[in-house]
Amino acid sequence: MGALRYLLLLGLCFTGLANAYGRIAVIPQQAEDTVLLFDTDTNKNLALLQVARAPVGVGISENGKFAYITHPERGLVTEIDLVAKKISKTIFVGGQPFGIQLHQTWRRMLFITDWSRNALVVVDAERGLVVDLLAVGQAPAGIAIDPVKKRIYTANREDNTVSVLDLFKPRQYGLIETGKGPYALALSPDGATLFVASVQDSTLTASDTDPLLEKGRAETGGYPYAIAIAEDMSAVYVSNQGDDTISRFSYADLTEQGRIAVGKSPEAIDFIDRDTLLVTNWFSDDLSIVDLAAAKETRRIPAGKGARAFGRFISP
Amino acid sequence: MKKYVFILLWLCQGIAGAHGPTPQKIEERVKINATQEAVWAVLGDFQAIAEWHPLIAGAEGEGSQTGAERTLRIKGRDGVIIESLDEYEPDDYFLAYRLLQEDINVIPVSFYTMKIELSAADDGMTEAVWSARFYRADTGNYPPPEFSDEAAVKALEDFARQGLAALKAAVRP
Repeated sequence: MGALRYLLLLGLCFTGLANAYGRIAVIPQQAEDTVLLFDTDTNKNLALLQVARAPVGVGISENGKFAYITHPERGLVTEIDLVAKKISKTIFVGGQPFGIQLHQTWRRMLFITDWSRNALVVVDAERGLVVDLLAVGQAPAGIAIDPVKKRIYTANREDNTVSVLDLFKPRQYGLIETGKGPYALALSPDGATLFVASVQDSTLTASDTDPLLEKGRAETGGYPYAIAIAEDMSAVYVSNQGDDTISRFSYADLTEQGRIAVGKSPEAIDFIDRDTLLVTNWFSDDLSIVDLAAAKETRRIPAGKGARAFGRFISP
Repeated sequence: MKKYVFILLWLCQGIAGAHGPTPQKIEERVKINATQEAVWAVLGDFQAIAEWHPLIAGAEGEGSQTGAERTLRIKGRDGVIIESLDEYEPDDYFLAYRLLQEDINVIPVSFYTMKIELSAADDGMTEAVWSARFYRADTGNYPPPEFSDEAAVKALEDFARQGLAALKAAVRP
């Protein structure tokens, strides 16, 4: 695919134009085997889909039409048609599929971290077939794709590294050292900085992507589980699962600028709009809506059992 | 993605640590007819758990500060587990710790974090809440019954319930 197409897609992201299908939060509820589709404009539930056992990871297509959900306990991926609000496909990938990201070229491809096989599984989503299995570090969890630099990053929880792979060729560029137990990662909108949250030593690291060098490290609250980067690159938000808070860090130097109390065991965080975060609270089985300007939770909404969502879970 | 693989890995199943499977939780609570200070006098010594918890045969370690470790023996089981203190907040009557070294034949879980918090109830009593987040012993996709989610939930529910009942009994009002 030409660079033009990527630039156009990135342009859409940067200008914040909504997709044609409305913005939907896709929330796997791991302990009850359901996926909640939640309208972030109205704060109302759109649908509750019964899926295979223990859904956790989420990836959403750039046009907002399809969501893909991983089921580590069953080696499955569920495809949800967000327009019809129905399951449209189930794909057997084997292993323990965990984090998931999409990349659209001539086909819609899925890149999935496999916790138990220490691998990146590549799936042709349209045909529902595994087409490749690539070695990464131990117990890969978080994944990010840079379509411009044509790279894939995986956070390898059991060996304290990030693997950097080529998006189109089966080769590894390099490794980045992280804190202990890297779990979630997020790439800045310009692709220049990779942020990694490590759950075992509760750190946030920032690394330059060219060259691959760590440039900053900060302490977070207990068990940082997810990262969300402000679109204007002013701040980085981290959910602290161990202390029921969201931390705000300055983007430039990782200075912590405050903590916002939310529900119990917050996990996934994503932007509803530039001033508002949506949070899944795993222990208290609810969602928090956080006003970032006021630095406080403004609303608590009941959810199903074990609401998690691993990855960007609100459609573009 | 036309070319195949660095390495095919079909045989490398299952050695990764916890977290692949679904996390489980328990939350147990009990009301104690005493002040928070009086309950904390029993609970607050991280190394003294063997003195009040009926399932603990012995505890070794030093200190009650963040990072302190304790090695536990469980009644009727061979082997030990090691726990490490993540948060210690005497002013808030709160402590949180994690399983640092597991032994699935001692307690059938591969990892847990636990929190115990004392709060003032309306009637002058203290409510103690013991909660845990954890993963089953066998983190593969085909665990035998003794290392399943159900076995892990049952073991930790029992551990917290018996602990709270004994804590209540150990407090001097």
